[in-house]
Order: sequence, then C-alpha cells, then structure tokens
Amino acid sequence: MPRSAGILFLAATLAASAARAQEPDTPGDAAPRLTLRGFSDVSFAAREEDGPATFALGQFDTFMTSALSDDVSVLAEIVFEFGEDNAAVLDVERAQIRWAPADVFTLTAGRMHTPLGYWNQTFHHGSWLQTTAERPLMYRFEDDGGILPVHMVGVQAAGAWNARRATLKYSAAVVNGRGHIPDEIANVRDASDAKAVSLWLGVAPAGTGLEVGLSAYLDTLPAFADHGDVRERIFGAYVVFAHDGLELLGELSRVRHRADGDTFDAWGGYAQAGLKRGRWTPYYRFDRVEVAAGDPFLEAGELSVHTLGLRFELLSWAALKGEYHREQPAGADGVHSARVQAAFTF
Amino acid sequence: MRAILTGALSVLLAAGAAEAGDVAIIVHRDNSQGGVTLAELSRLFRLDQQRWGTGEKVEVVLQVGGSAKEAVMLERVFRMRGADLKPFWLGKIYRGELTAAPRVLASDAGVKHYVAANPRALGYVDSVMLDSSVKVLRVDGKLPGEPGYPLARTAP
Repeated sequence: MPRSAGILFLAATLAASAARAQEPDTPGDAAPRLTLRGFSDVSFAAREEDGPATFALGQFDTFMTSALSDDVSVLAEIVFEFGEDNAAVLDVERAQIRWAPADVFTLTAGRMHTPLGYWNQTFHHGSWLQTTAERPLMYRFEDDGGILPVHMVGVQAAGAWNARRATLKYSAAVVNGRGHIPDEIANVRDASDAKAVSLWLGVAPAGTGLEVGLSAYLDTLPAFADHGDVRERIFGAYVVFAHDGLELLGELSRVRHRADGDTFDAWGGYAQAGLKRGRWTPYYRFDRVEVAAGDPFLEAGELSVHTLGLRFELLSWAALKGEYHREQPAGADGVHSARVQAAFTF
Repeated sequence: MRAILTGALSVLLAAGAAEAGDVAIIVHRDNSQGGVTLAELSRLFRLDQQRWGTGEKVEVVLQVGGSAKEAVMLERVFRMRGADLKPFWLGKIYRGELTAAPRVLASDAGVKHYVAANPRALGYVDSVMLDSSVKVLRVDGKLPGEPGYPLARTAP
C-alpha cells in the first residue's frame, strides 16, 4: 500500500478511536467500542561486517479490538515496517472475526498467527511484550528468511478446557497453504486446491506456571519448476515455565519437505532463560536453525546465535533492552553484534 | 481545636478498622454459584475461564492496587506481582482472548455497588464491608472469618 494511503488509514483509525472513546462501553444499540493499542521500538544496532552502526525504527504496530456482542469480536493488526531501502510498507498482519460461545469452543476466521508453539501466538509483533529485543531465529517472519509459516488465512476452532488439575488448550485450523516462496502468504488466492491443516495442543497444570505443547502443520506446496508437488510436514514442541519472575522457554520445530522421493529436513529451536528482579531482567537465549542442502523451498544453511541481554523497565509501558549476539554460521567465522532497543506500547 | 483533632483521629481510626477483614469474593445475589475452589477462583479472576457454569460471561471487576487486600489477591489468586498485572492483561488482549482489560474501581463501596447491579459480575471487597446487597462466595468451602479461609488477611 502506498505510504500516503497508510498515513490516511492511520489518521482515520486514530480519529475513529478518539471519537468512540466517548461512547458508552455497554453493549446494546451503541456502536461497537474500538480499543486501539500500539507497539513499536527504536534501536541502535552495530554488527561486524555489516555496514555502519545505525539507528533503526522497528515495526510500528497498530492493534485494534472490538466486541460486537458478548460472543463476537474482531481483531486487526496493521503494521508499518521499514525495508532495507528505508521505505515504509504497510502490512495487514491479522484481520479476524471470532465467535466465542464457550470457553471450550471458539471459531475464528481471517488472517491469524499460526499456532506453531508458544512464541508465535504470545508475542509475535508486540516487541514490548517479549523479554528480548529480537525474536527467535526459528520465528523470523516469512519475509525475513523465516522457515515457518507464522501467519495463516482460514478458519480456526480453538478453546480451553479447565479441569481441576490442569487446563487443556487446543486449536485446529484449515487454512490456505503456503505459496511458491516462503514470503507468499495466500491472503486472497490460494496457490492450490489443497488446504493446509494446523493442529495444536497445550497443557498447563493449574497454578504451576508450566505449559507444554505440541503442534503439527500439514501442507502440500504448489509445484515448482524443477519439482512436482512438495509435501510439507511441520512438527513442533514447546515447554514454558513462567512464575515469580523466572521465565524459561524452549521450543523445537522440524520442517520436512518431501519432493520427488527425496526428503529434506529443516530444524529450528531455541532455549531462553530470564529472571526478573525489580525492574531488571537479565536473560540468555540460544538459537539454532539448520536447513538441509537442496531443500526445494527453504534456503539451505546453518546458523547458531548466542544472545546475552538485560532488560530494564523504564515505565509501566516502556522498556530498555541491551543485547549482545554472537552468530556462528556453519563453516565461517563468528560474527559479533549488539543492539540497544527502546520498546514501548501505548 | 482539640475536638476537631480528636474527631479527625476517630475518622482515621475508623477508616483503618474498615479495612481489617478477610478478602471476600462477591457476586450478584441472583448468581447461582455458591462457592468455588481457589484454583477455580484464580482461573475466573485471570479470565482463563470466562464463563460461569450457566454459560453467562464473567465480568471481573478489580480494585486500584496498593492495599493489603490487593496483596492477598495478587499472591493467592492472580499468583503474580502487581507490576506484572498490566502486561498480563495486555498479553491476553494481544492474543485475542479479551477485547479489553477488566474494569478497575477505586473502592470497596464502588465494587459492591457495581456487583450488586450486574448479574454477571465477580469482585472482591474487604469482608467488613459486606451487606445483603451482594452474595459472598465460599472459597474451598469456607466463608471469610472461618478458620482456614484461603483469602484470610493473614496466611491460612
């Protein structure tokens, strides 16, 4: 979308939100109340062998929700981001309508975050929400070399069943499949008749702060020039513990592509630990992604990254994060980099 | 002057005494729920469970933080620190689980008035403020003031 159209859109959204802030918040005949939040960040980053140190604007995320009735709500997330050419682009990251007649069953249609594990649904574009400045390698966006389909367009049934000793959460979705390249998200036109299926299951024992889960994403990618259809099977698992300031996150995904009798595996995973004490949170994360040579869809390679960081809560809704990274590509020297980021929500 | 000071002191002492009971969980008088376990209460206040047993939506109402009452709620019901509560609600909104954070009122009287007028509401007040306008829920089978009440001002 052209930048001027984006600015007009944002101005109209802000004006509508301000006008509706005066309206009563009780349902009924009154127009739905729009809740607008924003997330963004500003960084200063330096990286060996990668041009000059630079200030950088993060994503400018406008996040909207509105209850149309007790059971029906809408959610939209519009993100302005900046490319390597410094130009702004506008992306509709989420646009969904949700019917939630019960805790155990909700039905959502639209563009959503794919339930692949924990991070993707929990933080995603909201950089202030996540402890770290940067997202895990395995969850890089589709247009940033990511290996996973972090967005999906389709229909999702989900819910949570609260038993005495644990909460069981699930999601099952039928969505448009991935396109000819990872960055091609089928918003309005699927590349084939075959639809992808996404399944996710999580268990959280009551009062422990622990959650574990599994996911599966089954798709058939459209035929490529030098391959027939490619069968894609993504399986993931996660373990999360968050209690009393201690945050432990671990996720692992395997992406398997089968084409013309050959099998290609890609793996992505991370382990992160942070301990919040007062306004300070020191943290560490290890990331690794590897994609087999010859994969028909993903770019082959191996990369490990160690991240050591410190987060400081400046205000209730603003945080300062400082990170050091050591990247280790396969067969090459390690690369050092650092980032200082002010992340905020408003 | 002495009379004025004495009067003011009496008012302050009375105000202090007014917040001295256990934390009472209140619902509308027509709510059919008689009691909850502490684990259920935690799920309800955290809006991990958003429906009453009847299927009606739960409308949680909170109080401005900072008192001993909120400390009890944070430790035993929300199981988090006060500074983590706002990010907790924002995270739920971001994940699409809620469209807005729960209403926050300034006083026990405000919460009691709100709960008395809203059949789906769930709130908490100091037990010395209880009257017949609202219904008190048993927690783990006990009412405020009973031995072993999980939300006693002093740890059970």
